[in-house]
Amino acid sequence: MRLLSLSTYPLSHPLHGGQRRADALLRAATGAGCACLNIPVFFAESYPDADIREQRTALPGDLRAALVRQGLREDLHLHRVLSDDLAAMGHLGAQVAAFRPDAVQLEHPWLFPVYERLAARLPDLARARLIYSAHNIEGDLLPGRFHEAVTALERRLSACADMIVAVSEGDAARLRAWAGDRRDVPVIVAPNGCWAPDGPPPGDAIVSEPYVMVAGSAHPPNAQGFRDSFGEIPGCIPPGGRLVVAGGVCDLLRADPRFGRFRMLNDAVVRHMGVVGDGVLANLLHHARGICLPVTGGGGTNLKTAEALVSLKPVVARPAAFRGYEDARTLGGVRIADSPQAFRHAVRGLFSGPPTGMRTRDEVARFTWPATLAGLTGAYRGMRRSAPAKAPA
Amino acid sequence: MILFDVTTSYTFRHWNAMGLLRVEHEAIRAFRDACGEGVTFVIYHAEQGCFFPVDDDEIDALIADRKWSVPAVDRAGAARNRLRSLARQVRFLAAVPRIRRMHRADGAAGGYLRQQALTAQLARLSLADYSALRRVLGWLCRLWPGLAPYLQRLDLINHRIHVGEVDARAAARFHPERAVDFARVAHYVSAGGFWSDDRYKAAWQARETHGCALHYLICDLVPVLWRHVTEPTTKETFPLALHWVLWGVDQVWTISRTTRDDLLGHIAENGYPQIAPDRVTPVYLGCDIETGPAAPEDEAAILARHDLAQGGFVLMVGTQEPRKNHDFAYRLWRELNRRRPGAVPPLVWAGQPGWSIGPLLEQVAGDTGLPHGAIRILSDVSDAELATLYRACRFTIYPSHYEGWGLPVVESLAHGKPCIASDAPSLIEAGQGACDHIPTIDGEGWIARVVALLDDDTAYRAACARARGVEGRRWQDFRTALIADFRRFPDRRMGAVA
Repeated sequence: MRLLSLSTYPLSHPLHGGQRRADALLRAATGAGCACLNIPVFFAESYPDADIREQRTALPGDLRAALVRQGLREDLHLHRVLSDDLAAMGHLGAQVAAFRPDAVQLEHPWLFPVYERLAARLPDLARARLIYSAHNIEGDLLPGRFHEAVTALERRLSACADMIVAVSEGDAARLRAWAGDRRDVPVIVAPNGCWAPDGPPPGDAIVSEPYVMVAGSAHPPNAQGFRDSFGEIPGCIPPGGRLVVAGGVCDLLRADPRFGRFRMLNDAVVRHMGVVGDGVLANLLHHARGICLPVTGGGGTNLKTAEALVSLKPVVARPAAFRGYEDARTLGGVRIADSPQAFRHAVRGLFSGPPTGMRTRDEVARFTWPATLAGLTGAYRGMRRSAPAKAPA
Repeated sequence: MILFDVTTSYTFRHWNAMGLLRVEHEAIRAFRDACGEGVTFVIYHAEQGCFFPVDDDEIDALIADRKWSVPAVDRAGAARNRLRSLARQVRFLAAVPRIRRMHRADGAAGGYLRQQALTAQLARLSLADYSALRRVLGWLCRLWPGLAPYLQRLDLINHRIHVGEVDARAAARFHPERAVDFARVAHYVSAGGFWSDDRYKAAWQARETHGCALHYLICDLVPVLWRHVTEPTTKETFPLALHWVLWGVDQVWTISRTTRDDLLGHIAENGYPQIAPDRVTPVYLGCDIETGPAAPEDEAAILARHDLAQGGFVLMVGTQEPRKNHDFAYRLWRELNRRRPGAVPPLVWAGQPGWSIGPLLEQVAGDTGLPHGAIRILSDVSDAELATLYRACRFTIYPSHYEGWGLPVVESLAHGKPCIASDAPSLIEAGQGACDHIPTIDGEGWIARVVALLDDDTAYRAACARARGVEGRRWQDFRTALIADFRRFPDRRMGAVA
């Protein structure tokens, strides 16, 4: 079976959670015997590290600026700027036609309108089975003025999809309801996970001081959670210790005037690493005294939680970080803090407690991708064995 | 050994005794009187990162004079002729490589010795000699830009010599061999501006390494809670310094219950290690300005110099800075003058000019709606002049947004003068029920009370009686309480820190 994945970000260098999940899903499909191709449609300036093939379907920055000028979103309203005379659209159509997919998997609902336009002129695409890979219930996360439009899009896609992939039972229930009376449509729950650490142990610590770590992408709720949990004064980090922040969230934090207050103190205590590669991230995780999950909002389930659990390091988290991981709350070395004050108190404890989390690899194996995507792998296999394509509409 | 840090008094020895210096002076006096030879007074030297002892006679002189007088390095007078001036410059240039050879040692101590030797050599040049040499060095700097940092350093030393800031005893005072060995220290006490340099790191390190107990007097949390109106450097250095202090402090004194509550709240809110509440004690400041009774003719002269009449003005004391809310006082007086033209006494602002106040002072100076002289600004007021102003004013106002304590309030009451103050928590605490506390959002309330104290003799006499009824705290009480609390510490040290 040839599986075409359409996403709004490239997957050649998966960094943020959405990329990592989409990449893991494709690997699962490949493992199930599918021939897979991902075509990203994205704004070039947002992902400068996309590879050459991916860059063919990258969009120029002035289109993004046009959306921003109109107060529109670059995910929900992306399809509005994708006119057929764009070079990227030409490449997209050509690649889809050449690949002749048996199934199309949409990561998020954003490209559904684009899929519909392509399907109208590409019979192979119209015959392909449609898989909706939902990362969240998006309508719950976007600002209220977009709620109706997003929910309508999610409902429409759920009603059309031949298979739905959800990250949690809660999301699955809502998506199943939106699928309507099509009870035979499989809704697969594939929780987020991570890859178990492999390869040689990381070398000497990049950060020489004892430190605790926060990792997060440039997703606004990450910055909000950081602010809500740590506050403006990182009093829970001792002199000589550090709070290391890795990922795109650093850019959000540095751009926020609230983090400019107490700058000298924050500069002395907080080390912003920016976006780091897998090797650096592994090194930082390996040498950290603990991992903090200051998640207070957002949706879906959190990849960082799985990574923190699998790292076997002590974890201090806000309750929202364990959404979808409820049964992991009682694992050794996990501390859930209900209030910012309790969170800071627990972070302080990371510097005096043991640097290991009192969990075993067996206990956390269920949070790795092979385990979380086991059901999905089976579904891909089932789809491969069944009829290759649906009848044309 | 008890180490008492007097770095603030030493560093700011050229300043008038503002609140922070006054508090440190009184704390020095308390420990000198109570502990005698048992306390060693020390100055922190930031370049070397060490503390150095101060001779007892210097401390005694500081206590007696309420000011630290340190002889400054003398610089050479003008050379008799250009040839001699040139000879001095050549001698100086020849000395530089010799200094580098003599003090080769790396590290802070070596650097300090080189700097001292360079300062001594530079003092042998007159200002004219240095100016001539500087022109040549400036040309050389254009050819070799790498010289620029050295030239900047020379300029800085020259400036400090020129304004008399270089301590003539510095070479002996801060010789590396005199550095205090913390292994012998049981207690380190700080009652000054611990955030001015990184002395708090040295103290923290000493506690970690040698286990000595650290005691800090903290006046307020203004740079944390009201950082937007704090002096620009302090609002960055103070929170960082406080961070280190709170991670390694054994006993804290605050100057009010408000500051104590603020501190404990800051600790709890931001995740700092808990300090047992009985380790944080308010120790109230005195308000007796010990200047002795002023001669009537002196007092009259002071008032005449500022064109003020006995009982014919209202006083507001405090550094001119946004937190003190001079802006509100200005608008209040403007409105009073609009409503009662010709019937409003002058408002006197007594205090040093501070930061971020320039635009307001320009407004006041340029306001055609404010009668000339309606607001008088007196900076650089001595203790004796201040006491005279308190005695001669009709009443005082203090609309400050926030304070650690509120010394002008208690000083006003101690002089038997009513005070109208804002409802900031520490001011209510300082007012002891004898003040009128009106929120600064209530402009009409302020106007009504000011008018009452100006026009209604019955109300004024009642307010004066309330003020006189307050028993003012004395600095002696502050010293006694400080030492008593310090002495309680060793008994409860074990197991008291959470």
